[in-house]
Amino acid sequence: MKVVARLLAICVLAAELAGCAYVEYRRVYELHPHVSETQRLTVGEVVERYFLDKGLLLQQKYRDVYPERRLVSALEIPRRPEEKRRHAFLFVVIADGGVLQLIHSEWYLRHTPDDFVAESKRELLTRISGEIGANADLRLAPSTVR
Amino acid sequence: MKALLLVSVVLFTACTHVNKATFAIEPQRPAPAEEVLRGIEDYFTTLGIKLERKTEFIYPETRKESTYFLGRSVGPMPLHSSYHHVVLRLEQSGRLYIDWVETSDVRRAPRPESLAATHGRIAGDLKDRLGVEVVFRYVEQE
Repeated sequence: MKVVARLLAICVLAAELAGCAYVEYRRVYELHPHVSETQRLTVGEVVERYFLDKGLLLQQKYRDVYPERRLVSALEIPRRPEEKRRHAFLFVVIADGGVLQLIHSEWYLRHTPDDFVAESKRELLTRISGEIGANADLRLAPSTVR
Repeated sequence: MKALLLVSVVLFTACTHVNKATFAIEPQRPAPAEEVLRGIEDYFTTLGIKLERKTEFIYPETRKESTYFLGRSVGPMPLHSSYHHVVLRLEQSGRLYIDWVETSDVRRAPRPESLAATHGRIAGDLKDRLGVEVVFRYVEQE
């Protein structure tokens, strides 16, 4: 009886720990210079369309009114079950103040995910520049703001 | 036996449950749901209830949500605590809902009758200020 109880306890604990073993991966990038009010929607649409073309899936789009005023697109990054990832999303956030952020967030078990935004940076900036003017000296820089 | 006890404690502290009671707010005569929503938001403001988040969903369906933080309660054991929120939700269909949400270590079945007095006060305020009579109908969770 004692052995069975111990075995059962070990199994339950192992299952619990496996569930908790996922680690959050989160990278935030910010577009500089900040987007002007007249270009905000255009840039947002260009970024969204770029990632949709890359195979991401638009799951939700919403406008936060309080405490911050911002437009958010939640794009799901398709992952295979064997990759052992959970809640893989890229959030495109455009605050009314003009700050555009790309937030890559997902939970992983073993292998750290590739930096999805860094990989796409060059191509994405070219696409944005083409839309709002070739002279724009755009860059995507890592940000600590969440 | 000790091992089972340990596992029970680990599971108890690790699990989080969202205990939710949802009610549809139904005006007794045709009234714009937006107006009723604003009326309840104003009532919560007068009570000093803190607005935590207000969001307008655009895709895949339109929906408006206002989330208010009601507070935190601590259970008999120091490890056990609960966070309480109330969410006003205006769906694309035009139906207005109120969700009473408790995020807790303990799974609890909702007790709709315990909210009757609160709903009575909200309904009274809507009738006094807007002249709109509403009833709160409990919605069973799937």
